[in-house]
Amino acid sequence: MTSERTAWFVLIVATGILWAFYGLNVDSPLRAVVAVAYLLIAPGWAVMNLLDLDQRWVAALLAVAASLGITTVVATALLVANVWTPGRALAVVGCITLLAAGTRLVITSDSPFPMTTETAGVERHEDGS
Amino acid sequence: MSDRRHLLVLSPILPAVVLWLIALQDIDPAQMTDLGLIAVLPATFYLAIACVVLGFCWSLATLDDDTPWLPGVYVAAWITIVHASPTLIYGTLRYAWAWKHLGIIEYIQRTGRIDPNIEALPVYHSWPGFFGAATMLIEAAGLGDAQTIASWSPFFFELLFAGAVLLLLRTASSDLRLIWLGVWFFSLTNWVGQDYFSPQAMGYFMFLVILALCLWAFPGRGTLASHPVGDWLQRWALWRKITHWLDSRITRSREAAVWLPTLRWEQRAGLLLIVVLLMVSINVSHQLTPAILFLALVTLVVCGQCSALSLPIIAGVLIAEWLVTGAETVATIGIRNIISTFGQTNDNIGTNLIDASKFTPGFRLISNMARGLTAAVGLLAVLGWLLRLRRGFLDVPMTLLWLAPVGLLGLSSYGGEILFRVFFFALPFMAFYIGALVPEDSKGRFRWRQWLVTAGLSALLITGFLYAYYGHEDSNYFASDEVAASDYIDSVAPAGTVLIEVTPNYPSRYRRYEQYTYIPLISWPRGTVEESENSYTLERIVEIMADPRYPAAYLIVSDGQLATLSVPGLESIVDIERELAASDQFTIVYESPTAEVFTLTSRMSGASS
Repeated sequence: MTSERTAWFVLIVATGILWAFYGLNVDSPLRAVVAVAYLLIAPGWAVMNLLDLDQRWVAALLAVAASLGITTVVATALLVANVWTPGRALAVVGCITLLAAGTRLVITSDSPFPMTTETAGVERHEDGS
Repeated sequence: MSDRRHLLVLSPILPAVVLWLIALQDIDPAQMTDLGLIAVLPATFYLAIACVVLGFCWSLATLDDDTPWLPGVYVAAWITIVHASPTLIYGTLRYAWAWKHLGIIEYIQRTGRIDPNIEALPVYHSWPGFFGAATMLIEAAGLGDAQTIASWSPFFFELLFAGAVLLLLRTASSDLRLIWLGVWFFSLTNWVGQDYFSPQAMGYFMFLVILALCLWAFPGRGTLASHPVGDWLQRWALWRKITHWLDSRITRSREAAVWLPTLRWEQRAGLLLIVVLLMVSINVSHQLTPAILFLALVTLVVCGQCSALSLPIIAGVLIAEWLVTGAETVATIGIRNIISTFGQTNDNIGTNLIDASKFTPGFRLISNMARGLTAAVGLLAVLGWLLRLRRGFLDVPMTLLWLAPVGLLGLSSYGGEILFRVFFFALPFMAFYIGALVPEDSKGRFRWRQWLVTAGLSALLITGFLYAYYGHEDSNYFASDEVAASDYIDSVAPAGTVLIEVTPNYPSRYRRYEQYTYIPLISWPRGTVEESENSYTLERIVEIMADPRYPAAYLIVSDGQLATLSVPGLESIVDIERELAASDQFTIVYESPTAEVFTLTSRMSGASS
């Protein structure tokens, strides 16, 4: 299985678990762990995967920032539109995550853009070496 | 470096953790004085920190390309020890404002909406982004309320801040040692306390990430000579010489910082969208951060340090758009306030600096240590900047971003906080220059001189930090029975109840907050009786509590409220507790070692008849 397919699979499963925990109102510490991890990582990870950055720690940091950003914008939009429910918010965030992950899968399977282009950063020290 | 060597360099972590865990057992927050946590920290706590400092120095000494992350372990260890300790010791959520933020989340949970026209705390309803996101998290996690998550916020946000500062400073230099020193000194000096469960904490993280992305993915190539103003000034021979001298340093600095990746156009486009997403999030979450971000972006673009010319325009449009739509109600008042205080820099600064001479010796010491730390950070940063210039580097983006927040001083007093916020936003760049004070070795080694300076600066800044950050913990800590007193009121008070409090510094407004009328006898922050609009005479209190417009009336006195009264002579307000208890007009309905709740005896008999 390619890394894209693995990511797609993980995100589908994680989204499913999150929705199931919420829908069934499961009372378990595991639910809190899954929810916090998902909302802080998953949407941003799916989006950052689309960008295919070489610097993994940068991508990880941006994934957290993007996750917070997506969650904030979705929640605000629903509140301002006066259609807020937690279930609706989680559905939208989950769909964005799956859409981004799915798009990545489609791009890599039939890509107009080469995903293996040389993007290595240039490392140089202050003495120029 | 071999794996065995890694383990050796990481070995100070073990005694640090053991000493820290022992220290946690010995700390009793109930014994805090007006020196806050400083008064109760055992020696083992300081020894744990000493292990972390030594470990950090060691990790710098052995830093190589195979293990660039090693110093990060010690940064994380420092953050854990300092920012997880209060959470683990207290067992309750610290800081009164954090409790009030829970109230907004509870409002959204209960009503499913926001109300920008609400009378109580309307600002949060006009910038609801953070609270909406937090509500989603709480509901998804099935936690009921946000207390647990809010308790861990300082630890969580400080880790995120450190990560974002790492990326930001990585754009300024490829010298890993200098970068880690910057991150380290940032974490050691971030005393302002804007890491609690709040929109500004999330906004600050996003602010740092946006700036890092601007410099990382959209770097500018501007020099003084290439700038229109610099070009115009070149007609003078002296300026030509100065330009040449400075430009050689700008170019050297930029070349030394070439760590920047080669990005494809679609990657840049994607990163630009991420920046816009974060800008939108900041705009709907916090009122001050977008203004500082706008200033920073304008500065970078105008000075040719960011090639994404559209970003300041997008930032400006987003601010204006939200001010005339989502935040219209509050923005009208806020803009009026800005216009009235615009340009009054001295006044805006003055409202930040309380007259510490009026307060108790402990409070005075803490205030002076905080001011001393702030001044020391500024001074050391200036020295570091000059030293780096002497070494042949002029880091234009770092310098500009350091100076950009200063522009806010002329804009508003921001409720008496603007000076601290300016320090907060300038801190990552000042920390970078403090890192530059550690001497360079011609062969790139980290020897005794480097050890000595790093450890010495760390010890100096940590001393100031612990006083400044932990010094006010006596008023940030709330015992569990103080929380129980508030829970009791919530369980018995019907909507419309009037609640009199000595000060608002206690767990309050976190449930059905908009349904109560709160009357503080002394307003925040650390106000005085003379500054209070309300008289605290017993007669006046009885008059308010007997008002038939309120279906019920309670008065709460708690240790957290009294801890904020650090003005000598104000101890007399503690007498109010005795007067209330002695008066037959009041009846105690809830009593614990740290909190008492009173109601009017006449109201009780009225209820029973």
